[in-house]
Amino acid sequence: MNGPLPSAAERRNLRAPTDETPRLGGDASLVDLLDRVLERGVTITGDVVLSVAGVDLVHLGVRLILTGIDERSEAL
Amino acid sequence: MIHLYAVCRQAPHELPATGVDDAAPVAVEVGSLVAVVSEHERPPEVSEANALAHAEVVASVSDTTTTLPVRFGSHHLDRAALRANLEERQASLIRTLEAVGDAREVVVRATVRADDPSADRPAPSDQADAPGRAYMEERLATETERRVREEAAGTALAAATATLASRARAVRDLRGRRGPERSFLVPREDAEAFAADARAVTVDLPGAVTGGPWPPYTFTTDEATS
Repeated sequence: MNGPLPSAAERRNLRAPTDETPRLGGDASLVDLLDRVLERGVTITGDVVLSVAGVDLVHLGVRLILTGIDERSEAL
Repeated sequence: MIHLYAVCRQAPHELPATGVDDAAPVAVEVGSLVAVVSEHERPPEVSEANALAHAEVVASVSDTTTTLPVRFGSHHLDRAALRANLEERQASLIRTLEAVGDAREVVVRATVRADDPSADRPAPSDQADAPGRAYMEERLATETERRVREEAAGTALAAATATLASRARAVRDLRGRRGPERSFLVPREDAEAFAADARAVTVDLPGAVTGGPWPPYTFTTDEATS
């Protein structure tokens, strides 16, 4: 890794996955990495399910992130 | 509240200073496994920034030890609960860790757009006021056309990367969110050269995007590594 990791506040300022992040990959390939982080990887069922009115908030949040990524990647 | 990043056989030599919500990742021994986690007073925000933070921690861990990346969003009440949940899966996790070994993932994707801009046809949204049958037929035609383009792109992708497959320990062909993709599980020492070669052999493939080397997110099940 070159240089310190960005803080959470700095990461929130990342405008899009197209920004240069050398460790994770640049340009369009970063959207593929985010797909992996959000939809692949081993699933360890946690004992905490955050929900409102029966809706899993983690699942809902992940779907919203993926929708945003899809919209941006169509523009790449 | 525990956020889980990765499962390893040995503790990583070093961990990044911050992870999800700026919390410090730590290694926790669970039986013969090591879990990389961060602890939080409140549930971590489900955001793109935190997904990237998760990816950064997993990438850092996998730089120094054999790692199974955990899908973002695995939360456990406390360390006792984490131990109980991991011990339940310990045998299969060890089996998968041994199958993956010290390998990285490289992917080549052939992008297929939702609608072909070259097609001489109004977009489905322009047909929304048409009678229902005509509208649905238009949608069906669009989807069928996309499937045909995806199959053609997948065939071209397989042909372009055929020479790479023999260098990989495992290959997975999947229908990705942006088009067909071929993921390769590659020994760490060959991963950078493999990614460079993947870019070279697909340079003339329309819409080709190469990603990695990354931790082996796509190869975390028994069948994926066989």
